[in-house]
Amino acid sequence: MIKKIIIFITLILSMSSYSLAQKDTLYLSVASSLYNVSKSLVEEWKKTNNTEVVIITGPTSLIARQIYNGQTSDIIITANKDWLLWMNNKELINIEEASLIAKNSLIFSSGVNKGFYIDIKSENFREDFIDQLSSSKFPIPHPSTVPLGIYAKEALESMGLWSLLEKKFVYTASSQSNLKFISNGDALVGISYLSDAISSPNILIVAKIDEKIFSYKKPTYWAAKIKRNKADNDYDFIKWLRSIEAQRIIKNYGFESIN
Amino acid sequence: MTDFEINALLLSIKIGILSTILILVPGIFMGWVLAKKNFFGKIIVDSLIHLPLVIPPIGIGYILLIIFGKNSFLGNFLFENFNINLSFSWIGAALACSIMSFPLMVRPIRVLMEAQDKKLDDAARTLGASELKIFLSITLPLAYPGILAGLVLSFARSIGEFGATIAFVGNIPGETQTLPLALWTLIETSNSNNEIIRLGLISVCLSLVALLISTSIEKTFLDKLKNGKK
Repeated sequence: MIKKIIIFITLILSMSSYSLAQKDTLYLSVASSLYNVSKSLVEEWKKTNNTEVVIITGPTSLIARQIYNGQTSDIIITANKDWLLWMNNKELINIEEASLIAKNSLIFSSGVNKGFYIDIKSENFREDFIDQLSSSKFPIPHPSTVPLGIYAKEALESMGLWSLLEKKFVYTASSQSNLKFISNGDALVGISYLSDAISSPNILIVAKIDEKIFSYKKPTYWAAKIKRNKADNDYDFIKWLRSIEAQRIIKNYGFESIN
Repeated sequence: MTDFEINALLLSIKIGILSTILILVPGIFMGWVLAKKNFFGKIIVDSLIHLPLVIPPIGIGYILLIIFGKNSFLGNFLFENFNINLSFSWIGAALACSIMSFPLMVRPIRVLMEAQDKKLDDAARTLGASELKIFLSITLPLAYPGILAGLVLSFARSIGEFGATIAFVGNIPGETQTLPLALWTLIETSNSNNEIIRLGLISVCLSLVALLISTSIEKTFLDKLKNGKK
């Protein structure tokens, strides 16, 4: 019996298909709002490149901190430039070499059949918004660190809704966990990226928050090469992300292309 | 099963096994110390061992990151001299799981060792047996059921571990993304409930298989013990 157990344990431990570091592997850390589009982008890129790609995802704040603490990564794609500046200060990337790869917009979104309707151009939309929200909570990614939270705070302040909603906030960890609250119907309405609403079947767009009417920084996605990776090699992936082919995929997922 | 699911499943088993092996000997030793020895500060040692049951797992993960992260003295020393990076590696994940499951290894072993009849040890001593011989021929065999229970509980704790793992080693597919972390990724990013339920079922199956195997091992050992006594 003991022999059998030892053989079993040896077998499992030897299944080191995980020694990815020894293979030709590109480690790609992406903001959680880019996870789904990244999978499609990598699939397309691998058609012409014989390199394994590992996608690591999480809120921009988390992936940036993890790279600082030693996580293997060749490229980071963040959902705002602030975190790249932070990484630049820590000498993890060179901000001058960072590339803009996509843009996004903010929307108010709700789950299907929630019946939340708002016209943000009308004069008394704030009162209307609060009335309809009633006792429901309003999910928002943490406005001090998570990019969507930072953008959302700017937008809500500019609309005059921030102070009215403050007591109803439920702080979430990332744009994706925020979206889950809304799509599951746990919150009547929330703020999301337009791309998330387009790629999620359970989300309805209640109103687009036009950055020309309300002042908030337009969400932008930046890719940068991590300095201390093994061979300082990004396999030209960042350059490819700006190609027409990659931008077409990015656009299909509801992002604005850079062209 | 998809590659995503297979990777997470095998990694969970691998990390669960390594973490359990890592704490087996220290667990038996601490169980023995707490059961058989009286010393100044025993109550503090006892509390320290049980601390992982009380501290939030994510706190332990963060403490590990501060101690072993690349920016820490120890982490930097290990990396510069031995090229070992515990944070963000599967071995680091096993270390985090070991710490979280250590009290579950020690507890049943200690309870069984405490329940043993001290007269057996005394009789052996009067016959000239050394402390090591008493430990190997009396204390340890009589504690087998406790050791088995400890192994099962620790393994089960390891394959379900989430907080310490994600804080210390992150969520890297194929390297540190175990079943609970893969499940969390799907819950966060997937639009398909089926995918999430599938992975949830795989977790349940793994736990069931682990429990069945452990029950059968336990039965075999106990049968052997009984037969040995006859």
